Amino acid sequence: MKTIITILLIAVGFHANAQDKFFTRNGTITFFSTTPVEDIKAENFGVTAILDTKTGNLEFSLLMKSFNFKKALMQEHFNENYVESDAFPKSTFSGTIINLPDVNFEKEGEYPAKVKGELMIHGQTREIMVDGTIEVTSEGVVLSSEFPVSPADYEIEIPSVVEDKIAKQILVTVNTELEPLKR
Amino acid sequence: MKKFILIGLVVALGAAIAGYFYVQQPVASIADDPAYGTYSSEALYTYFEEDEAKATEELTGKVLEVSGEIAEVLVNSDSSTTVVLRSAHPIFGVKCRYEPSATDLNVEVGEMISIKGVCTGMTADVEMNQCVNLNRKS
Repeated sequence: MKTIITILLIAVGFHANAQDKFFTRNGTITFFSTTPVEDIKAENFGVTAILDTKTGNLEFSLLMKSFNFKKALMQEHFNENYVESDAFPKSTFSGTIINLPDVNFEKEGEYPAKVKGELMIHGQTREIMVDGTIEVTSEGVVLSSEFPVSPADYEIEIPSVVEDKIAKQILVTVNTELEPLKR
Repeated sequence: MKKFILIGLVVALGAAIAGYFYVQQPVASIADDPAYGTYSSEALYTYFEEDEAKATEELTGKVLEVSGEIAEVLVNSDSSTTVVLRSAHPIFGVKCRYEPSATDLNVEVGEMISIKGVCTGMTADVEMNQCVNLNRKS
């Protein structure tokens, strides 16, 4: 991911129109698990994302250890037992806006978007398609989406002793404000 | 016999209360934790850039002290602040996020600053969380 972003940014610097590229290094992604026993929420405020409005290409990258939990024990179990952050420190998404012609990046407004791409969690990559919203503002572009992720799909094992505390489907929320890339 | 049952109940109740508070503990501040290492932001970024796997294995999860020039000040969606310390890279550096409770930071672009925080690895920037300011060098 780092390589992709670096190459893209260098390319922007030398060849392309920077106004086609929108970037953030402090986007927000949260996840929420709810069961009758317990609700678990974690937030990551250090998401790196880049959007190329000409091609519709989107890249997201985050560090699993940058998820903040309210309870220390939850954070410890998340990193050590479930997502194994030492072995798999990052999660990435690489995809494309498939209804790009429906989004007018020159006109402020809110546009429904469909994004297809590859989500990598816990070292496992799966193709996903998600619905979301692209809001074009005077300051940039806001990407928003909510979609479910099943830990089992990414080979995240939940011990039977706590399986009634963790939902089978985790709700992931993306809320990321990107600004035009400055050279 | 009743006495033993009563003692057993008191012990069980004490264990349950202790367990409850243990489970409910918030993430502890690292303000008083000793630093594993001290780096300039240039040196830390370069260390990760040159061998990310090695740096990740060695430094992720560790409390580090990092000094450098503030290249950017960002306000996050929870109103917490992130500063980006400059590296040799033209765009990326060391990204340090303070807790939302840190409201009186008065950090400015161009200022030299020393920060302590937990290193969480590298995406495009090297990342630090739970950051606190140390002495300022301006």
